[in-house]
Amino acid sequence: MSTRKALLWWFIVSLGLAGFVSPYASQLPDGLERIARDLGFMHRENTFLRSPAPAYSWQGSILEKLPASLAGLIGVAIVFAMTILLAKILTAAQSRYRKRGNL
Amino acid sequence: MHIPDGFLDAKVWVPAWVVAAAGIGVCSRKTSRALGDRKIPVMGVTAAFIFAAQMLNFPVAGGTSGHLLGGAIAATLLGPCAGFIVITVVLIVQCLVFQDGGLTTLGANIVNMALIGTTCVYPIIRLSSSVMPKRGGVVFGASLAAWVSVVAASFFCALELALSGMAPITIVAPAMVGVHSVIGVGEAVVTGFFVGFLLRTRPDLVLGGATSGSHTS
Repeated sequence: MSTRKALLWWFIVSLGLAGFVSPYASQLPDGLERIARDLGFMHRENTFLRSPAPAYSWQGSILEKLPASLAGLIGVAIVFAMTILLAKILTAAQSRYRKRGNL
Repeated sequence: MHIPDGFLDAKVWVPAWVVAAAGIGVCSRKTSRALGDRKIPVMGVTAAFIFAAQMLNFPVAGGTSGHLLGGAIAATLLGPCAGFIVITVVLIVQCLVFQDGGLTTLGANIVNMALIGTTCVYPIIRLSSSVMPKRGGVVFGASLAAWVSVVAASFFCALELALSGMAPITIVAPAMVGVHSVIGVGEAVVTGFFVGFLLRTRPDLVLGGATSGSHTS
């Protein structure tokens, strides 16, 4: 299997996990939430920024009609695109640096 | 372990942002020097996979759940700097799009889960794979780094909470480290299996293909 094909499979698996497995994930509070409740500082939580999909659901937002699994799929796509873009910017900056003969 | 807004005092989250920004600066520079075009898609898919894996909470003892952080996986595949960038991107998207972790506290979350959870545990992987150059050494190092990454991140999270006056350190640190030393076992097992699987099937993707018996295709 070529590297390209292996990476494509890995990406498909990631989409599957985020889109179709994550709805079955445990809904219990995570370690920090649990401790914040037990030690009585959970009420200190507030938000300075309203996200389009708080806690991975579209509930209450303009996108409410969209299926829940879409949140995960879109998240995977955004993370993938952002990382590729960033990596391309970083390598482009480097090749400019090289061309100037600074290495 | 994503700290929401409101849990940290400005005297904690401002310095944390400074440290996070310094980490982003240094790691961007180092990554841009070392990153080959071949590595770009690997970074993208690793980030996508870790984001997906972080959505999968599994129950642990006492009505609590945990999920993979992926710092050790990122470090094993991409090294300490590109690994840091990948986890940082995941944290930024979680914060901005999914409100998982606050905006003021994003710096602290980057310090805990990307800087401590990836860059600081990388020497464990490196040391283990040089002492035991076979596949087992890499798998052992990655698993140990995975456990340490979760426990160390939880300790720093507790420290930040205590410095913000949320709870005394003598109570919050044992509580955080206690829960996360259990969650860390899950992290270690998943990381071990995943790295072992990759070493068997695609050794060229692990540690830049530097492991013994690796070949590129």
